Parts: sequence; structure tokens; C-alpha cells
Amino acid sequence: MISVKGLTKKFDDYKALENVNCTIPEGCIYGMVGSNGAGKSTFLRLISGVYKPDEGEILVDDEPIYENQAMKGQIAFVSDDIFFLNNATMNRMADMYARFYKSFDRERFNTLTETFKLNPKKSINTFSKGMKRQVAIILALSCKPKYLFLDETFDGLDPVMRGLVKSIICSDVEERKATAILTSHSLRELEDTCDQLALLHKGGLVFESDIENMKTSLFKVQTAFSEEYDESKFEGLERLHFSKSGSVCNMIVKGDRQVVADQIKTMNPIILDILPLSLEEVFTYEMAALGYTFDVELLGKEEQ
Amino acid sequence: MKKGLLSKGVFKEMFCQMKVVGVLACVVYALAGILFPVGLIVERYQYKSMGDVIEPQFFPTEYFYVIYGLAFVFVPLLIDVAFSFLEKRNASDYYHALPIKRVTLYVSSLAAVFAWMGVIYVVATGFTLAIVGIDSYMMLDMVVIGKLLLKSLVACVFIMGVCCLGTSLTGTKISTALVIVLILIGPRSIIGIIQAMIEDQIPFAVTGYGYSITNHGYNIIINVFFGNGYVTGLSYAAPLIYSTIVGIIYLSLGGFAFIKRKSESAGQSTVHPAIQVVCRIVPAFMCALIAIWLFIGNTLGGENDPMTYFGVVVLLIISLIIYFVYDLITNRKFKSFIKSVKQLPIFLGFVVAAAIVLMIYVTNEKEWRPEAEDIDGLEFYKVDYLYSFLGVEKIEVEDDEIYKIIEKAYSRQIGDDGEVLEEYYIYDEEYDTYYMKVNYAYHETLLVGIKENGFSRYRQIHLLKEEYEEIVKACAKVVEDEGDKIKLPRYDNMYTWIHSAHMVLTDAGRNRVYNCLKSELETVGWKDIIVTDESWIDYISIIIDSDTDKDRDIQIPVTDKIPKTKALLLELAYETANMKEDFSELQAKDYVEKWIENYNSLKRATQLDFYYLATNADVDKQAFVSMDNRLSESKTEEWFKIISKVVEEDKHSSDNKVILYMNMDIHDIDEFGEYAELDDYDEYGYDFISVTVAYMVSEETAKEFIDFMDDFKWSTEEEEEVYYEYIE
Repeated sequence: MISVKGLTKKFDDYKALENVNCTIPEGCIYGMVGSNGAGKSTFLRLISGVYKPDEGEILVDDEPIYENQAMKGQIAFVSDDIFFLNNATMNRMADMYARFYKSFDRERFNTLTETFKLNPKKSINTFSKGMKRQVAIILALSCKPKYLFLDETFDGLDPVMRGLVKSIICSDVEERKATAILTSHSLRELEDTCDQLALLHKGGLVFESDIENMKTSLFKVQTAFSEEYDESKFEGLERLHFSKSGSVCNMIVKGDRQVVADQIKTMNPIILDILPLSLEEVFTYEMAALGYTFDVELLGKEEQ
Repeated sequence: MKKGLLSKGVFKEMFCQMKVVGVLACVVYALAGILFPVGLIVERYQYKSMGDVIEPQFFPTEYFYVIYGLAFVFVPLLIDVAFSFLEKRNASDYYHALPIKRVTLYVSSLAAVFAWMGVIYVVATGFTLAIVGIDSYMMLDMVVIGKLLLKSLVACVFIMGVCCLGTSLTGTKISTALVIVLILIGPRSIIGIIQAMIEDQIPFAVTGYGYSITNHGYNIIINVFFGNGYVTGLSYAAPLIYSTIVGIIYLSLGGFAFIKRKSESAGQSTVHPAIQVVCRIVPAFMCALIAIWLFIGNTLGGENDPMTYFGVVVLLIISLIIYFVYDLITNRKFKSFIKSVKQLPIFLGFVVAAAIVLMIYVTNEKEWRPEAEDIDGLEFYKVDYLYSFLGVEKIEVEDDEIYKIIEKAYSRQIGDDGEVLEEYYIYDEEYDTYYMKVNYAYHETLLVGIKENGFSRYRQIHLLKEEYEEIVKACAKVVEDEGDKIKLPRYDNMYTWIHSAHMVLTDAGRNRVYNCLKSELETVGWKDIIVTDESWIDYISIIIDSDTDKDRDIQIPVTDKIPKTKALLLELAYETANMKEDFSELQAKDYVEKWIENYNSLKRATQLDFYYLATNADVDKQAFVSMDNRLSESKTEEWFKIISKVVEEDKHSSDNKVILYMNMDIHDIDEFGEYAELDDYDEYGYDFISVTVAYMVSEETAKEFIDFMDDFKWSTEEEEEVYYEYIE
């Protein structure tokens, strides 16, 4: 388990993270989303022990991570800006990893290399951006880490490779009870992989929730009544959004779906539809409720 | 080593990463290690084919200076490979994410550097030693070689420390290079400028002497460039110990900075703003110090020359430019430039403070004059024969009478205003030094450390002859208490130079003579050696360089006080004299026989000047003889009879006991009195032959020879003086 309390990190006068608190349970795939400069990469570097926090604490399995050799041996971190030795091949990098990580599995490395159809004897410099990311992921996975941190996980990967990476991560988490933290600026990329999602915005953790819970506890209610009514009619419901057009109103409601439905039915509506929300819509409304504007980029609309 | 400081995996990885540089260094040194001795063998073969006599020689140890290249070239490259990740953000983050403690990463990387150094050393010396080992004409002095290798190893450690510290404090290549240079030369440069200023402004002052930390000889890197202990000779060990300690301190500071630095400082000029301030100030300050020097000289010296003040202003402006340029080179950000402007008062504050402190210091020192009652002790350095013979560099004297001599002598040099008394001195502009007017030929100069209140000032003191003699007596008394035997250091072919005044010695011969002399001197009191009425057949000069020991120049007369050395010298002289001449198939004695033959056939004596030495237990005689115009016809006949007898007797020398050792210059004179070519003497057409011969003859023949020669040696000292003037 990873526990973060009051985490703050500054670079000169710039506050990259401020008072971040979160708990990442074991065996989960934790997604972190945020716009550029939100602090995702900084967060990962802090929990990997690369950076030292200016304030707060980070505990991994109840131990501080900074300069903790034993704990770091259980973490594999793939940065957004990947590093390889000059003119190294995959095999050379594997040798290096094997020297630093006791759990490095050469067989797994070979298997994954074959799966991704990469040439381990060729210089990595000749690989494309996406291939380099694949190499980095392969090396990280071959370490069989208890904690896997991937920054800009799918950056440069084609849809097929994305699917492959997602499935490998999921199977790793399932088989070895590993914990993965994936960051991305795109919600769509993380939606079908992660168990939990968090939103970082300007150095702060503004929203964090279980995905299933998010999807089921927030829904759209479309209803109509024959008599005149306004929002006050629905006082008993936790509403994030209310709009009315004619006699039909649309609400975003948080709560138990069945309970809400039953409650509205007692009001004798002429129309009652309860619709699920997409993750983007969930985020949008949750953020709006918190007073933030949800960035269009986060919806992955640019990728569309 | 503490468990966990060294990681095998990290070591192996770093060793592997350095292999390009390591292998390149091995190739370079392998080539050097093979080519150098092979070149010597080829050269020797060439000489041999031309008829030269080849004798075993020590392998020139200059080769091992090549290994210094390891410290200046390959060690910095290895360090750069090991820690280049500190210059790029992604690399820095990567390494800091690895499951290794920072201290382990640092120590293991250094261990890999040391491992490569070891490999390179083995390659650099292995090939050479192997070739020399199987070659019967080259000898090795393993102790000297070991000392040279140790010195280069210390240089490597020093450079390693500087590079590690520089790399750990910075985050870009340019700033790393600049900081390394600053660390390497900054402290000594500042000390050097201040020393130069002090010696320039305070007459007769000497700085950086002896075992003072300001002696640049301590710094093994500065030592390489400026010579061994250029201010004064230091022992072999002193620079090594000092440089090793400083190197280790730098390595430790580098380790501390490495552990503490933030990963995110990769790509920035320095890891902390304070470091940037220091790096900006140091080079600018060096320039400002020169301005301060000029200012003090111009002001305290009373010159108040406007042009000099202008020069001061120019230098200060240059120092400001250096101050700002450092940031522009390393940071290239306008924001950083603004910061450096705001921090300018710190630099200016340093300059002003330094100027005030130095001005006060120079003023006080100039006005200072020793007073006997205030002196706590004196140190005299390299007092004549006491130093040469006994190697006693520093003699401490506590004697009120001597204090008075020093007080008086100094008051002749410096007036109350701290200026040199013109009436006593001539200032030599060319050599920038003072000479005493009074009794010019008799004054001596000593470096004296004058102790007052636990603090020593070093001054050059000019002494009259009688003053000097008093001081030598006082010093001799101190030295006598410590023993009266001359202890020579171990012989090494590189730094011990031994020369016989009259005899030719080979390398091997020099070694034997020195070792024999060394053991004999440990049984003979030094006064018996240097003050002797004994007739001497020769004298031996020994110069011991400061690299292995403090440099000394010793002249030892070869008398019966050192009988083994005397006998050995003659034996070796005899052997050497019978070796073949360079570039000729003829032995030296062949020339003499040819000269005799020439006379017998032409009845014309070609000219001859020679020095002879005849010696054994009972016959000790030496003289220089010039026979140019002194031989009458009858005397010529007699002369050739005697020399022929000597030549013949030598051929059957079993009972002969006296060595006649001669340096002969054989030449002819034409009708104009000029040197003329000697026919048939030498295929190269030389008109002047110089040979060294030694003949073993009976005592009777030796006496006959000497009696004859007595007619031709100079009868008066004036004649001898005239001769030496002539040859000069």
C-alpha cells in the first residue's frame, strides 16, 4: 500500500505539488489524470524515490521510500522521458537491469520481447518513439515488481500495442497482486484499465474515486411532470446539475440508482429515464461541483 | 569497507560502461609500452653495428612520466563516463530511481574507475617491464619505478577527487569543466598571487618555504608543471601525503555533494545557488587580487603613478567582466544575469576586505625589523656544507649572539620606513635583486626564519663573511649534537647523479661506486671527509635531486679515508678506459700506439696535452701536462721511450700495481700553428683525438713516468691560471 500525506514539492519558486493526500491500496491499478503541468510526473517521481519531498511523507508498505534500497527494489518506474544507455541494445539494457534488480527475469524479458516483436540485438537508438516505450515497459515488467509506475503510459503506442500493454499490466496485477499507477493526460486511455482514478490539477489532488463506484453512483435522470415544477421539487436528491426545458428536466444525481428511481416515482412523473454517464461526463460534473472547469483535452477529444 | 557501500552489480555495470575509455587507454599505453623499449633496442643495434661498445644501462625512467597522462586525460574521461548521468534530467531520474543507495552508487562507480586504473597501469608497465626484463642490456631500478608509479597514482587520486567534486556540484558539461579548473588551480592561484605580491612589496621576504602549506611543491599537480618543489625542495613523501589527503578530502566532499544533490538539478549549472555565487566570485577575485597588488605597490611605494592607477581600474573592470561572463557561459539566462547583478555587492565586499587586509599586512611587514630581545629562535636553511654533506636542510639555533648578528644584518638592509637602504645596496633591474655594495665579494646570503611569538617570518639576510662564519659555527654545533656521519639516500639512476672529476664511469660503475661510498661514509666522520690534508686522487660529485630526496650537491675527495671507494674507482676507471671508442673499432689504447708509431716513422711528435693520474697505495700523483712546445728533440726521444715502455708493460700486467690513468688530447699543428688533420688516426678525419686510457705498470715505471712529467707540469700557479683562462 502506498500512503501519501501532505505531500508538497517545489522547484525553486514553483509549487509542483501542494498538500497531496491519497492512499493507493495493494493490488489495484490506479490511474492518475491531469493536464500538462498538473504534477503527475512529479508525483510519480516522488513515490519512486527519485525526488525528495519538501513537505509531507510518502510511505510504501509503511516505509519511507526515499533512499530506501529495499523498497526501491520492488518498484519499477518508467518515466515519460525514457533513458537508455548510449547505443545500447535491449540485451545490454537487460544486463544492466539484471545487475540492479535481483528479481529481473531474463526469460520473461525474452518472452515479452518476442511478444512485442522487437529485435533485442539492435540499437535502441534506431527504434521509433513507440518502440522505445515498449522496450521500457518490457524491461520494467521483466523486473516483476510489486509496484509498477508508468508515466504517460500509452504515449506513442498504436492501438494494438496499447491493448497489449493494458492486458499485460492487468494480468500482472491479477497474478502477482502487483500495484500499478498509470498516468496520462487522456481519460479514455485509462478508463478501461484502471480500478481507481484520481485527478490532479495545478499541483493538487482534486478528485479521487473508485471507477465502478463513480460510474454507478452518478447518473443522469431525465423526467417530466404534468404540473409546473422547479428544482426545489427534488430537494431530497443530491444533485450535481439541473436543467429544465419545457416540462422535461435533466438532472445529474448522485446516489443509489434504485432509491432515486423509487423516490421520483412517488412524485408521479410522466417520464422517467435513468441513464448512465460516460467517465468524461462523471468527471465533468464532479469537477463542476467542486468549482473546477474540466479541461476539454482530458476528454481525449483531440485524439478523436 | 562498510557492508552496502560497495555493490558488485553496480561495480560491474559501471566497469562495463567505462570500457570504451578503458580499452582506448590500454591500447595507447600498450603501444607506448612496446614502442619505447623497442625503440631503444633498435637504437642500440644501430650503435652496435657502428662498432660502439654497448654497456648495460638503466632503462630511462622518463618513460614513466608518460603515465602522468593517465591522471590528466583518462581519469577525467572515466569520471565523466561514470557520472555523466548527472547532466541530463532523464538519466539522472533513471539512476536515482534504481534500487541503490546514492552512496553505494558513488563508491561503486569510483571502485570501477580504480579498477580500470589498475588495468591501465598493468598494461602501461607490463609490456615495458617484460621487454626490458628479457633484454640483457637494460637494467631496471624497481624502487625508482615504484616511486614514480606511486606518484602518478597519487596524481590520479587527486584529479579524481577534483573531478568528482566538480561533477557533483554541477549539472552541465560546461559548468563541470569550469568548476574542475577552478578547484584545481583556484586555491593555489590565489595563494600564489598573494605570495608574489608579498615578495614584491616586502623586500627580502620569502614565502612558501619549507613545510609551510603555501609551498606549491605540496600540490602534486602544480608540482608537475612547475618542477619539483620549485620554491624549496620537499622530501619525496611530503607532496604525496599532502596530495593524497587533499584528494581524499575532495573525494569525500564530492560524495557528500553527490548524496545530497537533488535529481532535478541535472541540467542546471550548479546544484545550489550558493555554489554559483562562489564559482562566479573566485575567478573574478583572482583578477581583482592583481589589481589590489598594483594598487598597494603604487600607494605604499609612494609612486602614485597615474598610469598604474589606471591599470588598477582596468583590471577591476576585467574582473567584473569575468564575474558576469561566468554566468552567461554557464546559465545563459537573463534571469540569472539579473541575480548576479544583485549579488555583486558580495563580490565587491570581498575585494574591498581583501584590499584592506593586505594593505595592513604589507604595511606592518615592511616596517617590521627583528630585534634580538624579541627573537625566540632562528631557522637557517641549507647552510653550506652542513646541508650538502649531511642533508640537514633546516637548523634551528637559539643563541643570543646570533640573534644580534641577524638584527644587525637586517638593519643594514631595511630602514625604519621599511625601504631598502640604498647606501648599502645596488638594485639589479635585470635580475630584480639586490647586491651588497660593501665587500661585494665576501657577503653570503642565507634564508632565515625569524621566530617571534610563535610565528616565523622568512627573509633573505645578507651577511658579512665574519657574520656568516659565526652562524656556520653555531649551526655546526647544533648539527654535531645530532651525529657526524653522512647518510646518503638510496641510489637511483634517475635522481642521483654521480660523477668522477677525472674518470669515466659507466652506469653500472656509478651505481657500484655510489653504494660503496654510501656504506663507507656511514663509518667516517664528515669532518674527516671535508677537511683533509690527505692527498686525493679524485673527487666525486653527487647531486641528489629533490624528487627522491632534498636536492644536495656534495663534493667528496677520494682519499685513503675511504679506501674501498678509492680502490673501486681505480678498478672501474681501468675497465672503462679500455673500452672501445664511440663509432670506431679502435680501442683508446690503439690510438696511443698509433701515435707512437707515427712518431717512430715520421720522427715527428704530434702535439699532446694530457692529464694523468698515477696511483696506488704508495704513489699518488696527478698533474696536467702540456707538451706543445716544450719537448726538445732529446726529450722527445726520451718521452716516447717512456710511453712505449708503459704501453708494453701494460700488456703484461700481472705484477703491476700502479694505474696510470690519462686523458689525452692528441692533435697536430700545421705551419700556421693551427690544428691540422691527423693522418690515419681516424677515418672520420678528425684533427683532434681525445682518449681516455689507463695502463697498469710497475711502481718503478710509474716513478719514471712521473719524474719525466714533473719537468712539464706547471711550475707556478700563474701558469696554471693562464692555461685555464686560455681554455675558457
